Amino acid sequence: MRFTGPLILAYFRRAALVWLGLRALLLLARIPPAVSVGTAALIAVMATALGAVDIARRHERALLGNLGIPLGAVLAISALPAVIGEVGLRMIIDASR
Amino acid sequence: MSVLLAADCVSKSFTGRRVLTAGTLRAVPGEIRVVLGRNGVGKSTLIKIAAGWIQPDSGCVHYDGRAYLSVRLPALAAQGVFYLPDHDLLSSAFTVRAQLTMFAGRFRGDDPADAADRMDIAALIDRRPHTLSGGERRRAELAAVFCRRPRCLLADEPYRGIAPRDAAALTEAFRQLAAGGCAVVVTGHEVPTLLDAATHVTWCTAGTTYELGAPEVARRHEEFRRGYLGPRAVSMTGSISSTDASGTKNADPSR
Repeated sequence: MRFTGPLILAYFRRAALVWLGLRALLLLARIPPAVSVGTAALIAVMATALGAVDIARRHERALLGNLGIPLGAVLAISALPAVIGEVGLRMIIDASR
Repeated sequence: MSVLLAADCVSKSFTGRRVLTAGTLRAVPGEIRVVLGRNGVGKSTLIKIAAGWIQPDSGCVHYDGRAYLSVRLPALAAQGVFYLPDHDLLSSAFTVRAQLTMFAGRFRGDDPADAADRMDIAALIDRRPHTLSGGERRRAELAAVFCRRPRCLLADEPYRGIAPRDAAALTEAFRQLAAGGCAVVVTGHEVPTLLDAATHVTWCTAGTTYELGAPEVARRHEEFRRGYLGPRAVSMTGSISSTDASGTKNADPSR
């Protein structure tokens, strides 16, 4: 973890950008921030899937594999920003009501 | 001869096309094993199966005394296997130094600066891989191998598209790794370079593999010469008129 920290941080940052991008698209489509739990889960799944596509696009599977990091672990990291973001957004919306 | 890693009698099909029917690949500590064969015969597939990069339809992978019907690269990598793909090992998102540090720190291999010196990329270590030439990238990847210090290196076409000087640096790196006890397996089509580096030749043809033995024996192997090297390559690797009886007997594809 100590030495692969920059890698993990990079995946977290990328996933956060993907989630923000997805949310921005929803706003552009005039969908309000308060969405159902199902839609929020779908956004998290989409953000994770896009993270997997990004890893394949950047040909980073070999680097991760040789470092002994399973793809599943990276996808879990990629899911985190979306999950945290959706939960946080829901808490903010609920508190403002 | 103690085999560290073996992909044993593996088969693989892609969309109905059978690439391998019964291929075997062995990696032996201290040896540089070269897998040769025509395009599409399954050399890369075999090395990918051995590395846990793709899964075989049948057969199994043995590593360090354990048999695996299904194994993934991260699991093998944690035990000392390093897979060098035919392109893009290093990510363009980080500098070469950052990535060498990841390998060195995680696996306690060579110091990144020493590895960079060894592969003559010290001046390039703070650049990102996509800004390097093909040969420089290959040398940077070999520096990553030294930072990992693997027990087994599986390199898929490492000599492809690089200049002779870079190829010589790669060969020297493979020799140093083998001298340190690493089991090295390399594929490719650069016959003179590969036969020069090899201590053992495996011929991949018609979905299976033949252990030809030492490069001198392989060069004299009649079927190998006819089926793979061809007349021009034979003259490049040294023209030998007679076939070595023992080599042919041990590795006759018709048997």
